[in-house]
Amino acid sequence: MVKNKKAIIILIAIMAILPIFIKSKVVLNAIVLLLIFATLGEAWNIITGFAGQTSFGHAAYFGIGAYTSAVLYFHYEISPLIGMVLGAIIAAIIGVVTSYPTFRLKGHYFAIATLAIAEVIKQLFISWRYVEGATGISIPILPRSATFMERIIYLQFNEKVPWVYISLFLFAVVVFICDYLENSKMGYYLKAIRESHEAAESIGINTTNYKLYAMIVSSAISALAGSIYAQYILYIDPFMMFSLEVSMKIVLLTVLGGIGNIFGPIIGAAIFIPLSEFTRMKLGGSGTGIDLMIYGALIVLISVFQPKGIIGIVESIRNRSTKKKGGEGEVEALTRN
Amino acid sequence: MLKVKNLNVGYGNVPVLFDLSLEVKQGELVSVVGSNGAGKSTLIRAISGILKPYSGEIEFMGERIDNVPAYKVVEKGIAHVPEGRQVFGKLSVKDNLLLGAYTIRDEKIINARLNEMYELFPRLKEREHQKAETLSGGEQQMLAIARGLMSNPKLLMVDEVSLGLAPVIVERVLEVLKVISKDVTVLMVEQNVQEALEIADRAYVIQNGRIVMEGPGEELLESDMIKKAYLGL
Repeated sequence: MVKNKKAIIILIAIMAILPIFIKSKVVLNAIVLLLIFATLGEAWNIITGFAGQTSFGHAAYFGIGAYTSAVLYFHYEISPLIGMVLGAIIAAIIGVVTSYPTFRLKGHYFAIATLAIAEVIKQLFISWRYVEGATGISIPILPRSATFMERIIYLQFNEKVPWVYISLFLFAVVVFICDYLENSKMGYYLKAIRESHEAAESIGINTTNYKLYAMIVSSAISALAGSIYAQYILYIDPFMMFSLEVSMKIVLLTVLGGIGNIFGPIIGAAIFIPLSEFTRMKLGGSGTGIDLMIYGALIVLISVFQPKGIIGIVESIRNRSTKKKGGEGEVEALTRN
Repeated sequence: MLKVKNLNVGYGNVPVLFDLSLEVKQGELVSVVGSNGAGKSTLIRAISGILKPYSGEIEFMGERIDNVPAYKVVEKGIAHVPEGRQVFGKLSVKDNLLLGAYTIRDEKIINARLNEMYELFPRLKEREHQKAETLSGGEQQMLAIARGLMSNPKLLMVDEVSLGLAPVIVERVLEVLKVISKDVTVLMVEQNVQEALEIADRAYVIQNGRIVMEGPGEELLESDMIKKAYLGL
């Protein structure tokens, strides 16, 4: 646990120093997106990696977060900082309302339900005039003369660097929450539910409640990431926010990095986001989806050879080196998570 | 202590138990035996609140529990060791046990229980930091029982303890249950009829969702019907 905390701090420190050396807007853009998606991966990890309830519809909460802050700003000029918080609350409520009945479904059926819910929400937003329907919302841009204070309140910056720090801040907070959660009692209850639903109930865990708590945290975090994303891109529409592609990206990058591990999402995002940005730049419109193809191939390889993801590969290498040291190695390998 | 009266339970539209009644008294070790599909596990699941009965009463320590959700039944003092062990495979042996103490808030009591379990099952102490999935079948069954006992139950319900275990191991697990039954009332469900009747104070025989015989374990062992139907004698 202490080891984890140290590693997290080192990781965040490195990310914080990066903008000093990197001047390229392309790279900085990739870092911002990487951090936003890593945050989403962490959120997804709570409900799927810890609690074992596979969600294929996390784009729904991401989109709701983005739309809440954008709509409030667009219609009423309410600061996105407030919009973000409201978005997180609304996403959590929708998470609870939709999950309460669907948590009765097990395994694949729950996953299919989440997929369907995200799709339903997308269709609603497409035909909902108040949120500008399929045209999407262009967030009003501040005039060039805007003061620094205004820029903070309305969360708009012309430079990339502030965005690196905003997304890094959110990611850092979320990682610490996840680390705390993993080692808290609730973390163990969620893992018990993942390992055996019936046994968890038989020892007295109120499984429905704990799954709902996990969903609340997970959807609220996803919504925060969504608001940040909307303010960064300054344009959202239902097709990009609620798309299956976003849901899948979240799933795939976490699986690639290592599901159920707090470093999984950041590792997965660090590989996936630069890859998709690169193919997008080099191949343009005709190349859309190439990144997903490469990614699909990676996932196939990972699930065949190391289902625990890249983290699993790292661990097995580390275990092999400790085994060489002698007698205790075997036991060590078995006890290490 | 536990009274089941005219219980009707099933899955959806498929009824499994019909007007089933049984009783477990304080300090007893009661076995419910029967073949595959007789409804043994359904009975246990109904008592522990995982399944809601269609009709009938389940009373524990003078309190109706047939409409209490599963997680609250544990608080009332009933522990359920589920069929097929179902240990939390990716968690350590110790974490499995600690999770068993979910309903206890006092850390001191939890630690005391933990030590008692290690005394009862020294094997678990040896492997306390190992992942539960790396244990052998017999050890996992011991872990599942110990996990059930961690909540300091008044009644321990054990579902199909012999499932997938070698005969030698089954005997050892049952011996342990016999020892446990000195302190805790035990209700076990088994298809391994011979062994289950040997250790039981009293036993019930279920066939097609109905109780067809009851009495002291040894008496049932002697009965012609049991000999013919289950023991092949």
